[in-house]
Amino acid sequence: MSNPFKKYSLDNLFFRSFAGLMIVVLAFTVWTSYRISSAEMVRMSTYYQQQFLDKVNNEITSRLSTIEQISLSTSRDNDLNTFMSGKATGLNRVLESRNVKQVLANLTYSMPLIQEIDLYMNNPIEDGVLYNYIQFRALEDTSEEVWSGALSQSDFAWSREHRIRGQQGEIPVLSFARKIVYNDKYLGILVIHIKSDTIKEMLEGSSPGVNRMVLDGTGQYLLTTSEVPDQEHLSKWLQLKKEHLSGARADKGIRLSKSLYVYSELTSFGWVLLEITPWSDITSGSVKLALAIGFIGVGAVLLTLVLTHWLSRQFTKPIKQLVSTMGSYAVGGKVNELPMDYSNEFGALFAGYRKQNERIDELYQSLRERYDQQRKAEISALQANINPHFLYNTLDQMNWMAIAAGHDEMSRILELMGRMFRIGLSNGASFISIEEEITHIESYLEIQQLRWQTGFTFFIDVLPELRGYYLPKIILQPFVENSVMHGFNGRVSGHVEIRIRCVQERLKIRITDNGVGLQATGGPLLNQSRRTGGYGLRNVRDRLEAYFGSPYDFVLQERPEGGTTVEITLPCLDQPYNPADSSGNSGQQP
Amino acid sequence: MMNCKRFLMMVLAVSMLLLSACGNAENNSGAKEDSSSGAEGKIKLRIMWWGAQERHEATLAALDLYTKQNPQVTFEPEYSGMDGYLDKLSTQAAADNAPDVVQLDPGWVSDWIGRGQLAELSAVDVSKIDGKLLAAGQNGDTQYAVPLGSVAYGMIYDKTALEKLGAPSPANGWTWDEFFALAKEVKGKLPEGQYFTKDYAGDYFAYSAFQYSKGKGQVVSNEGKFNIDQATFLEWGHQFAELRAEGLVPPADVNTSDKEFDPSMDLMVTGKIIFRLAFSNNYGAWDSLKENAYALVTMPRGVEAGGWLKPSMYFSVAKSSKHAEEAAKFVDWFVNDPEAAKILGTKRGMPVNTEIAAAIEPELSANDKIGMELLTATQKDGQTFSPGAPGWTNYIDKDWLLARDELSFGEATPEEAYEHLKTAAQEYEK
Repeated sequence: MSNPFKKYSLDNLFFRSFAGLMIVVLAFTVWTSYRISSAEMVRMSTYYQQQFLDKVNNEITSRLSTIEQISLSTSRDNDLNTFMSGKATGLNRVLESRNVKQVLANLTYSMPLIQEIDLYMNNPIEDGVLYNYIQFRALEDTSEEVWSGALSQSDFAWSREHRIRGQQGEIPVLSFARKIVYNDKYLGILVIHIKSDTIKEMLEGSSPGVNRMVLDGTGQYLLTTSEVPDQEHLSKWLQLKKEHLSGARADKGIRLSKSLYVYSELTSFGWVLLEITPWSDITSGSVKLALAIGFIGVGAVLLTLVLTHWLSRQFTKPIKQLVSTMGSYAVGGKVNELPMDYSNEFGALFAGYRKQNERIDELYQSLRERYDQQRKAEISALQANINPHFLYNTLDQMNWMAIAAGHDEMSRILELMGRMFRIGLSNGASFISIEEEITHIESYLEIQQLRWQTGFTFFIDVLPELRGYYLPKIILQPFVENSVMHGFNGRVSGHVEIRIRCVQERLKIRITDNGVGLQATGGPLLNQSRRTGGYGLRNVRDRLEAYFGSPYDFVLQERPEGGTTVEITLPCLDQPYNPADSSGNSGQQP
Repeated sequence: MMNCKRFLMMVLAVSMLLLSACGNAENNSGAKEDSSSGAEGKIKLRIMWWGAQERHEATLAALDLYTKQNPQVTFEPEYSGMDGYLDKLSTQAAADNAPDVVQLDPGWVSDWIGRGQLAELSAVDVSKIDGKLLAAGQNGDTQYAVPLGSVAYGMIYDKTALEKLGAPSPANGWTWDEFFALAKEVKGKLPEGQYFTKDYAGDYFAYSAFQYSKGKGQVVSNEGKFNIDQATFLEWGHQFAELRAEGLVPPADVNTSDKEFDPSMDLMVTGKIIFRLAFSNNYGAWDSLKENAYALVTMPRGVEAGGWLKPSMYFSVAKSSKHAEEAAKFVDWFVNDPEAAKILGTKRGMPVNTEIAAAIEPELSANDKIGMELLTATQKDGQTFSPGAPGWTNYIDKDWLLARDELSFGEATPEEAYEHLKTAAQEYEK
């Protein structure tokens, strides 16, 4: 896989990696806060539910104990026992019953918790008075009562919640039944019905809708504030509870099938107070918290993304500017200005780019200048050639005239001149071979010899292998002409030597004369009064400059023994130099 | 480049801080959520009354209507039959735990006022209520109890049973002589286990009617003096002793088992007796237990009328009530609101608010109209009702009950019973 940091654009990368980091951090924060707070919620819920259940446990225990005590003391009541033994008859029995009823009724009046008191006995008396709260019933009717099963194994028992008919319709009650035995004689059963709604209110406390219940030892529910969990869960919980107890764990909160079970034991009754809270209720706070953090986080992420976007824009803007500036760069064209107020890395980058551009411009400018010089030199050369064809034809005619007139010398001169012209023209080529250059200068020198008659000698020393090399045409003639016109002026003899050598890939041409030297001529190089010579040398220098530049040049020197030496340095060219390559790297240049 | 990095780190650090700060804030606010969910301004009025099923249903419907109109007020009703009602109420009052609104019998009102257990009801508009009815609920000029209706005391009888026996139906304005004669007439025709009437020998109210009809006044005078006319009492006692001997009244154990309005224990409903005493407003209660079987007739008369009109019952607000003002407002609504009156009908007697009484008269049900007939018949020359002297409640509820049972069980002769009552009365006389 390729490195994304090399592939995608800078702002994209910056933005994405930052956004990714933020999202990862956010997700982690949400997850952690949910985990921690929900664990804490469970711990707190367990703790507070436990405390509440213990408190309710105490209250319920004290209430129910009171009922048990009242039941006990009532069952020992002498009048009650006398009445139940059923010895009295007639009015006395009615009065006895009324008396007992009044006592029991007063209990129900003074204890709002008691809904009704039933007395099961042999031959109950039918009496309409005080029927509302106290009922005498036949002992045979007990079998269908909810407490009868439990009472068969014990002298007293609590029933689970059931409904009895009262004045105000069906009323849910818990019943406490106690056998009445007097003088070892089984007289009947005293049943106190208490309002289970009161107990339920105690169970519910100030939070209606909670799922709390009272279970007996076998896991059967006696009373519940809402729906009962199915028996399977309850028995599973009982099993877990036993395991917890044997493990001596103080924690009374048990998690089972998406609910939290917290309990408190009513030891004096062998019952258990149980609160079941759906897991979702407990963790709803945590979910809310996680959601809130999530929302805030998303907001923060969005904000950060905007910020990141802005940041990445800030960072990539100069780079983009640079890129676009580079893309639109044209030599000498309009330059997109880069901002100047960066002092950091971007500033360095911009400065570097700017400097480079300046140098490119400079280079370009110098190239252009050189090209212009070359053009100028060439044009000058052409101008110097005037109209070679016309001259050439004229020379030919003159030659014929000289032959006709018998001037053999003149004819020879004209022939040599024609040769010189031909070479000078050389079909417009700027470079000619050394061979041709030698021919050219020999023609000139012979003309001079013919003019001088005697006293003028020359010597040309060229290695045969160099004759095939090329050089700009008519390089030698201006110097030789200089020697002849100025160096030998007023003298009867003169000698010119031309030596061409190839030294270290450079063509070294030395022209020496034994003339008057430079001082006498007053510096022929720049002496404008001698137009011919001055023009010739300047022309050579311009051409060298245009074609090759430094270090190719010539040097005029005074010879110690008298006369002048010219040292011309040229590149060794084994083929004509192509001026089009002048700015390029043709390979021939050192 | 260093600058950029530092800036980025700062941005990151700031955002982390922000995030964690928000998280903390959330945590804190989450913890104190469910602390203040109490029912602000909600008032729960406890109200207690006695009556038959018919009255319970109508009253509950009226309470619902009131809650609908005043959503801040809900009720915790407590209702039962008459038996044990006063005992229970007195016990609660003794514990300073009486319901906010209590229904009182006119005979009890003066005792409750005397004990300072009732709150003033000056907030209740009583301008449309008959001053005679108001008097029993007043102490000086202050109203402590508001009357709810007026009823006539008379008799109800099983007309189908009477027809089966071929006996004539009694007419309004009949006499005690005709009553006892009718008893004699059905003698022998009655099937096994059926009797003419209850054993009223020791019944305070039945005897009061008899003594009234003889022109001998109240059993206990308004001044709180024992006022049983011995001859009248003995005549009454012996008449019943005769009925008892002839099997025209039920034996004692059956007699004591009677429970008014109870479908399985009301002796008339179970077909054991034909005649019993009744208030005009209760016709519907019996009719609902056995449709079209019963008829009302005036209390038998003698030289004077036997029956009387009385304020059926009163509403009072307990002194211990924490919502006395709201309770009084409710009582005002209960007696003066036309919509409430429509629901309540004559379940507590003819409404005391004369405008409302006139307004609902055309809309009265058939049963209510039957009650109205007895009311009208009794009104003509009925005895003047007296709430009785204060402090005699137990004399009626306990001592007379004992006398009733002694006579019923044959444990005492009428003469002995008279002596017992006379002796017992000494405890109440001042």
